[in-house]
Amino acid sequence: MLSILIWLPLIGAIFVGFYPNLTAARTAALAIASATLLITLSLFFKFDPTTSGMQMEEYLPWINEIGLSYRLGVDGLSLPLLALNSFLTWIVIYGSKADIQRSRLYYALILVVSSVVAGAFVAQNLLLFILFYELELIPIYLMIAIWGGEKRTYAAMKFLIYTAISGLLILLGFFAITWLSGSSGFDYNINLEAIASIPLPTQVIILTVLLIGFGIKTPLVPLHTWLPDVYVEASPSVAILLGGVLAKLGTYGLVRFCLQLLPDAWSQLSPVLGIIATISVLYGALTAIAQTDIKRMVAYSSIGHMGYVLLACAAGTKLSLIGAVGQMVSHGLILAALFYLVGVIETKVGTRDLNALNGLLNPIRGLPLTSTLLIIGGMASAGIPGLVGFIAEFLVFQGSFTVFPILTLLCIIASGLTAVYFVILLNRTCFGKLDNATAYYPKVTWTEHTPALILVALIFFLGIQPSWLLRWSEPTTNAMVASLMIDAPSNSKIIVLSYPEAKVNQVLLP
Amino acid sequence: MDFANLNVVLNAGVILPESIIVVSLLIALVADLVSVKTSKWLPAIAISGLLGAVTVLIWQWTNLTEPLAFVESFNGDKLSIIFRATIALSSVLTILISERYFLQSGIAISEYITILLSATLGGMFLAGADDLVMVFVALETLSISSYLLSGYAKRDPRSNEAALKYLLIGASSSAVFLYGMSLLYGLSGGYTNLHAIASRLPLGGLSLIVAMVFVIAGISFKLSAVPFHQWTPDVYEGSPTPVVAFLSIGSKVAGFALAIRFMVTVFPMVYEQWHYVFVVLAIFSMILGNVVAIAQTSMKRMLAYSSIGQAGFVILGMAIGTEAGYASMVFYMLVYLFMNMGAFGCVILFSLKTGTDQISEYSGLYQKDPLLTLCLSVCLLSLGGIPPLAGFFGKIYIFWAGWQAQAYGLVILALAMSVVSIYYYIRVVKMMVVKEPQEMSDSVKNYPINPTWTADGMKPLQVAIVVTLVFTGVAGIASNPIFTLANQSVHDTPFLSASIQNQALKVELLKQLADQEPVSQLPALEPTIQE
Amino acid sequence: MSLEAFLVVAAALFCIGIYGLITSRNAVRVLMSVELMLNAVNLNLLAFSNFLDSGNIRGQVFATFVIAIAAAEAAVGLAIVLSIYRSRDTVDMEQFNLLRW
Repeated sequence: MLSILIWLPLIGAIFVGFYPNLTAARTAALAIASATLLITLSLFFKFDPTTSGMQMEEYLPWINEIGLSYRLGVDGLSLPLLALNSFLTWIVIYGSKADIQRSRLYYALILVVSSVVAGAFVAQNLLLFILFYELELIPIYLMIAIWGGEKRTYAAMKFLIYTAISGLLILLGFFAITWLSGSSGFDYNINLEAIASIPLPTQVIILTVLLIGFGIKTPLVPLHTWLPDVYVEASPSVAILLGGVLAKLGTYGLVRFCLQLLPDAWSQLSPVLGIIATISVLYGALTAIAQTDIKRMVAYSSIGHMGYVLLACAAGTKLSLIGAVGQMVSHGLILAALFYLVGVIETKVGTRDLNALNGLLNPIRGLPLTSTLLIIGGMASAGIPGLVGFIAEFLVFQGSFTVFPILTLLCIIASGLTAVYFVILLNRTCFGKLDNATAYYPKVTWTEHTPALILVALIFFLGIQPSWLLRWSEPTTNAMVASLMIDAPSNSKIIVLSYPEAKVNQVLLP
Repeated sequence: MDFANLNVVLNAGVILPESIIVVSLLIALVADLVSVKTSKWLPAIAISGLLGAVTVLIWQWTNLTEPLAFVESFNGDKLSIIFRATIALSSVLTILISERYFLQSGIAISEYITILLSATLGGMFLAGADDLVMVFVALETLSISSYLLSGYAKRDPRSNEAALKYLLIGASSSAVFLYGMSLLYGLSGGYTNLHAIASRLPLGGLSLIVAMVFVIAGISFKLSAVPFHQWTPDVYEGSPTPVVAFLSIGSKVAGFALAIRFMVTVFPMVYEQWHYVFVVLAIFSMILGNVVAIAQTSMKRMLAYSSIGQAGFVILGMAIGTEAGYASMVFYMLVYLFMNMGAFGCVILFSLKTGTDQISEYSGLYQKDPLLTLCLSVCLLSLGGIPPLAGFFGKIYIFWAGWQAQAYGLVILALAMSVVSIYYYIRVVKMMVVKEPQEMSDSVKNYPINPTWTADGMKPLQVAIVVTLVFTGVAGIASNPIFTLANQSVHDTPFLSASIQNQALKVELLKQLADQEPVSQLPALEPTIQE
Repeated sequence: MSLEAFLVVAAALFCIGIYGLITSRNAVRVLMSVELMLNAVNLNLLAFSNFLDSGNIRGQVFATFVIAIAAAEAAVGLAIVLSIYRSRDTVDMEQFNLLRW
């Protein structure tokens, strides 16, 4: 079942890329992506949300000499991310034009990325994860370098080098964990006790190496320097993939391989991580305010939102971890919507400059629906209640407050700053008076609207019905918390409730 | 002594593969003399001889009971079988990719085939040589043929120059190697068999170290390990491209076979010392090869430096000195054979069509020749260690072996250098794939259709490229058999497994000693020479 | 005569060979220097063979091989020098600078 998620897009990519005289590359890719999405959705019916362990496991021995095996599995952490991946792939393919230059290569690469990311999310062997993690390198590199903006070659190379280094560090960390825990292979079901018996200072070193590796990918301040260039130079659809899906590889890695494998060291480092997270959040928000390029602004906002995830993980309470999973998904959706809309505006208006954009909400000559959607996206990103961003951020703050009161407060302030820069963005672009002389923008067709409409609908829906987002992860994250030993004053009000829907309601309606 | 007895003593069946190649060499030589018409069959004769040899080697893998031949001067153990097969295969692929090249440059291919076959013979004998004389003769057969090959385009002054440089440096390095061997002969009190020498060498002392250094210098030249690499870029750039392919693979594999056999067999007494030297060689080769490759503008030169860097990774496997280390080395050589040969095949194809090997001339090739772009990209990315291609698994195996042997620093360095290598390999891929149509280079703009795949000598090139592409692409995913092969070749080779066990014992003993009392220096004995 | 004397002479010859290899500009002289080194080895082998291994004389056999191969090497070397002389009209090593990085 899980293999299909990897192999279907991959075979599809080969088909799209190599089938002779294929004219309808987009249609074929869309069909494959739709099939993948349906299969992913069907996983939710098979998934048992009451247990914390791996489900639907698949195992094939592969290469014993290096401890590599083909072991797949899914749990409450990876399932929402898998769905996010399939969904955003579908959105990206749907939102791309059929006559994009070198269309076959383009769609083939998107499918490869989708397959590889799915593989990384379900891989239950450390080396297998590395394999998928590195595999994504070249397709993304090519996608940035071929279909990017002006400085795309530079950005692509920057991405390549940063990611290659992060892969190197992660590999080193995995080597160290596996070797020191004395297990013969890289399978993920490593004896946790064996890991716990590694001396704590060594564990901390390993964790640091892994943190830097995944931190580059996420990205966290101060490892984020590749992000603005890459996100801005990449075409909107690639930026959606990068920010919506690939950044999740970083946060997923933080939870799966740092928090879960090295809980002791994680508890040890958690105050530091909390501080780094807060710095990321503040930095992201403050730099975003200073931007005049709307795409760059969204890119920086992404740094801040990823910081919330780290804050939640560092706090390591039941609530905050649920919030972290929620934040990963909600950030994926919101960022995708924002990047998509920014892309639409750029193609129609021809600029991303805040000083040039004006009055897009004008119902006749502007882009009314696009700007409306942009406003909703901005609100969601700023954490306005009723939208999915609020749910996730609220859970994160509520969960982390008991552990890091000051840091959480700072983050809440930063989330207020998020509202500031989105107000700036929306105010400049959507409101105001449209220039009569120049502004006759081409109409946005319904096909072009559809991806954003779907995304915004989902943002609304999950904002109103958060349990659909959160119920899958609860047992998994609870099990993670059990292995952590961050001393926090117990918050009885939250912990007593076990069923997620009730809990969320309890939190939301005090 | 009648013939049957003689054969029992010589056990000549072990060198049956080599005999087949000798026969095919002679047939090729005679066929060339007989008439011009038959000369176009020469490549086919040579390839069938080589493939026959490989078949026999495969048969010998399981069925050879007594590997020692010719009064213990040739050893047909599994390690030598796998190295000999690799060399023979590299020669097959070299012939496949050279046919069109020489046809188009207007150079006769007949002598080339015979010289290449004798180089292959030299390499194969070298891989199993267990005696100083045998080592020397095989090494020189390989080297002298290589000099001739690299000067084969005799009207091209660059080829001449490359040959002269190669010859002078090669000859002097083999003289150094020989001097070391003569010292070994004296130190052992008059023995030339490697095992006999090893059991009679003094436990330490300056003269042994001097001999070791000389021997390592000679071997490192063949491996083109830094700092014995200076000839490599020049020779690679000047020589005909198919020859470079052979030098970078066949000749190197032979060098590694020699290195393992010679160092492990002869110098167990100074294990730490030679080990240390190889660690240094690995470090230098990885750093210099990979870093300097970044600055290259010529494809052949870049591949030359990259091959130095790749040799560094393989030496790393050897320097680790565990079973996994040697096995990873064998595995990497096997994989390297295909990916590097594929890269050279593509470079040859490109230069056949455009007549250049400048990296900048590759820009925009995607538009004109997608197949070539795909093949070259796959081979280069595999060299860079990108999954799921074969090179990734080779590198992971080496790194994991190194990590298990607790060579943490080396592994970290190797990982960093593999990132550097990704950078310069991806640069070529970028040139080909990313560039827009308007950024196309002149050679690509005027990219000719000729020679088409149906032209004379193009079919073999196509076969070679496709075979290497398929192997590079699939061998990684379906690499279990190759892993088993590599492991068996190390595990079932007596001298290697003995050395591995000895080292393990030694470490254990040293640990125990360290627990009890400070480790005392091993007695350093000077050679006792009687007049 | 002691073994050491032979070894010292051989070592000296070897060093002269290396010196010539490094300093000569003429390709033929470089080739001759290499021959000198090989002959130093021969002297070594013969001395060892005579003093240590007079029964089996493996060293002398080895030396025969070395002489034969040195001849082959010299032949190939001279052939290459000849062909380079034809195309470049010089055998001066410093003129050979087509290959540079």
